[in-house]
Amino acid sequence: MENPRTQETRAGWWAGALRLSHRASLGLLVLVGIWLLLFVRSPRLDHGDRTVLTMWQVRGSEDVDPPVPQWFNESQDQVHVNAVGLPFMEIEQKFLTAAVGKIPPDLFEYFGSVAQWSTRGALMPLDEFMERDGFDRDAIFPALWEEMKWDGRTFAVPTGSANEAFYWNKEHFRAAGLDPERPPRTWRELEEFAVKLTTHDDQGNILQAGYIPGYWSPFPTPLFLNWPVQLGARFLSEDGTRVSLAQPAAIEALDWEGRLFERLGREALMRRRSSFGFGPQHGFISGQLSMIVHKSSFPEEIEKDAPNLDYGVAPLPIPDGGRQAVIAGSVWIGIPAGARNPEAAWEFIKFYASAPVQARNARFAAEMDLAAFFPANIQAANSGFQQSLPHMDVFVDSMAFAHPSTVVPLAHTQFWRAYQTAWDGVMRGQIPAKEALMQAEREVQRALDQQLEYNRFYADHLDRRETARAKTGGK
Amino acid sequence: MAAHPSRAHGLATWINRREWLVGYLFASPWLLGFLIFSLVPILLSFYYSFCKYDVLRPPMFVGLDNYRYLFMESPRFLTAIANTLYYTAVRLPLMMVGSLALAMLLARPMPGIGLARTIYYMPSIVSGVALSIIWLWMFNPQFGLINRSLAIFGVPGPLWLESPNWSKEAIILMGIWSLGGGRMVVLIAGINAIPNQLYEAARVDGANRWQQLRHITLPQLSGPLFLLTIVEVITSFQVFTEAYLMTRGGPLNSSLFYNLELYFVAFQDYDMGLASAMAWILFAATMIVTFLLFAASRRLVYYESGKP
Amino acid sequence: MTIARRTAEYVAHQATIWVGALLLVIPFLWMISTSLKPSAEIFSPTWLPSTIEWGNYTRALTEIPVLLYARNTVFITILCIVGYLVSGSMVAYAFSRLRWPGRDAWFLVMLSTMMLPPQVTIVPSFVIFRQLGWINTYYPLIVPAFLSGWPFFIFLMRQFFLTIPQDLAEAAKIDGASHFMVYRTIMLPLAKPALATVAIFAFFLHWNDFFGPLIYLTEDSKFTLALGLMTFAAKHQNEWSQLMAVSIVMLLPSLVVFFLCQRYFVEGIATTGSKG
Repeated sequence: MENPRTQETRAGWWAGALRLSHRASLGLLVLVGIWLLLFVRSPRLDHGDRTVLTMWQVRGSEDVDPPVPQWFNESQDQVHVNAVGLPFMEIEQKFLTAAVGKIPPDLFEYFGSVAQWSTRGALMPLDEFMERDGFDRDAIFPALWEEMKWDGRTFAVPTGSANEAFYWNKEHFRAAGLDPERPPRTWRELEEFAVKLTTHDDQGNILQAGYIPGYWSPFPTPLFLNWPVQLGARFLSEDGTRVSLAQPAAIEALDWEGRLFERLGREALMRRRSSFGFGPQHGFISGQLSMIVHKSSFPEEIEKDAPNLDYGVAPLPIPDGGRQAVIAGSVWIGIPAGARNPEAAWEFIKFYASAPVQARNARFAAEMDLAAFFPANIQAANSGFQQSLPHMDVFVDSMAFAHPSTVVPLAHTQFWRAYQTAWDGVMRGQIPAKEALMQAEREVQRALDQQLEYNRFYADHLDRRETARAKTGGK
Repeated sequence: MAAHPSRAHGLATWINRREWLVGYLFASPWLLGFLIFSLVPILLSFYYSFCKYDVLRPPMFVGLDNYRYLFMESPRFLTAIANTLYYTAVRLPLMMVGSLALAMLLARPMPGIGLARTIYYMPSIVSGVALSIIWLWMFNPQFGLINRSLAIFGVPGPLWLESPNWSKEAIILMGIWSLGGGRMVVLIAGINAIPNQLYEAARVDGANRWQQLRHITLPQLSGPLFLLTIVEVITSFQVFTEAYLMTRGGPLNSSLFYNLELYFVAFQDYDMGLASAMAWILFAATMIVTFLLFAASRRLVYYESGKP
Repeated sequence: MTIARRTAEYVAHQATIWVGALLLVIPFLWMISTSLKPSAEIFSPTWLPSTIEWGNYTRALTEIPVLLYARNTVFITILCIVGYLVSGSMVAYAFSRLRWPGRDAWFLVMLSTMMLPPQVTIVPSFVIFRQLGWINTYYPLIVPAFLSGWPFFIFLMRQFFLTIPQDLAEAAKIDGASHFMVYRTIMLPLAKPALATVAIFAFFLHWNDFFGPLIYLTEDSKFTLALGLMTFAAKHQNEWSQLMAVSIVMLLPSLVVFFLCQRYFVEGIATTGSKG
């Protein structure tokens, strides 16, 4: 190992030049740093004497600022809404810390479960505002309201809807000798069609997959709730204290799905599924999968990545003795508890939820190719323009039999996680449906019990505070 | 009024005579920081571990219920522990040996040393998001570079991140790409701090390369190596980002690491009490391991200046 | 050692380094090529995009106020580096060269603070900063640096101080130097590599840190570069080419800084030790 010194002297002028350029670069770096510090200033934003509201939202794939706050700001001059976009993965944490620190934003728009926030007192109830201003709840799809409510009060207003439907590749149908205009209408038909549409190569690998239960995106979360709900599964008791996952409807649905997965070739199916990617490499979009249950935002994606795909959209197949059901979600907006300008914030919410704004927003989104949700307002959803969007009629009609995705408000995430674990186990053939669901039920029930116990504790706590206040007030 | 340098000087001397005072003064930045910013959150989290707490409302005391649940009922607790232990056990030797080898390669100046070091260091500063995308692609069973390279040799590649049997291995392999990170930097600095005289003396005595390594380099580096090992254990126990961004703990909880499960419990279920209990169990486990390492270090670590 | 053997070794040495570097660079090359590809081609195994989409880069650089965020980041980073260097070296000195009651216990405490996953202390920390009125300021991001909030740096420097022979300090003290003088005139100059290392790590820590700014800053004019780019990236979640472009933009300044500074943690150690 050589002494660094001798090497340096040997290199001579080259090293000298290097050192000089090195010093020069460092110097430049320092200068840039100084310039940045001294000469770059933030733009001053002046809103006159308007009330300024801050709204937090997750930005979708938008290259433009969200239009609704802009339109609101233009439509009047008392309030200015400043929309701040936040990363999807961290927005909940930021909201949590802000709520704890008692400095929440004035408005919060999100598409996660309202129950996470409403059951914990992080959102303001809106019923009084709604009563006072005669807010027409019926103007919004009824199926969406259930998730907005907790304990008899409403905590958020839906501004966009999403649900799911059944998609099929008409080309594949033709090639397999099936009527391209006739999707499967029952579970049995789905199974038969899937078997017909699946092709293999000599080694037994799947070439064209007919149907892959649960698959809708590369992300691991499967779609699975619609099947048990179609069979009439009710997961939560009326009084909200008992959870039931291992009920006949759920067991039958999960069992069916597991058997279907096995029949279609479990291992080979999993391999095929993992070969699908994002965007144009999505299984259905790339023409490698014949049938899929997917969300109402899917046509937009297909339009972008495979505009020539010949496909159809219809309501989901239903089981014998079952009825039609889809799982609906929404993007909603609420006023965080402790926000300083609830009145002004409510004005914005009314604006956002009104039919003309909903219609205008939907049109804007469609033109900008970013329509992940369709209007929550019924009139806007049925407008000519909205209905002219591909397959929108199926989604809007499906709202008639839509069910919320928040099934157990007090243990929402635990429910989904436990259910997913059960689903995964059954698909891999590692555990029978009944046992899997029983395990899941135990877990969710425990979480629910603890949450109920806490709610009792909290109610007591509030009572004690009230009496304490009354006592000191009385003095 | 003239200044009284003698008074200030007198104070300084008074302080200086009391080494204990000097010690506390020099350590005061950290002490203050700890007492003001760390102590309270740490004590609070300990208290919360005995409560049901959803952050937004007051905590409800439940005694040992969280701990009992974790050890007796939680379907994922033991899995998370097993996954994390496996990950640490495999990764630790890989990282330490790898970084050392790299550091030895890149320690001495040579033409292009700056470029080489930068290239090796680059992977460690890539953001988590980019990292996960790159490796999601690299590990893609169908199109990914890794399986395609294996296919050239006729080896059928596994499903990697989609396989319950390979997801942890995939994540460990990712670490190899970032071998040349901070660890390497520290070791390079350490290697360059070894006086040349030692090597010269050894060469004069006829020692060959391996002997020099064993009797000079390693002992001289034992301090930084020990430090890096401890830090490596601590950070491996807390592995989170890769699993969070790429697999979310799947498939079948094969990559559900301890810290990831903790995160889900804390920020999805909002069960901060349970999460705190998990955190303190992790803390205890880390303490034990560190303690053992320290005990081992008495015999293995060499301090030039004698023990501190 | 014969010349032939030496050359062979040299070649082997070089080969290992550069072949390794080449392998290492492959994912980066993919990053670059993806960042320039139109989205339809992202998954195709080709290396060269059919058309070069500079748009990903221009969008990343124009849609967020890059200069403003850069300025904020530079401000925070420089202050933090200074903080870590000053306070870290002081504390490291206390833990390595000074004897004071409770020293080893406190060291253990410091070590322990690294063992608790931060997820559980985030919320109480936030509340503390809130009580201090520091939310939406840079204080929560900078003050901990001056109070040695990152024990790893202290360890590093302590480790380094421990390797400096005691004779130097003893000699100085016999000559009447105070502890502070020893610290300033002997320990610090000799610890330059450690200081440089800490400075570089501190730079990367804060340059790439987006979580701290995310939680503590509410005004977007105060955002840092990492946070701005992350938010921008989150807007384009499924557009991998865009994300790659963003990541490369974030990467480049760090690389430049590293390249220019990496020699400093090996320089200045020509003579360590009073022996020989």
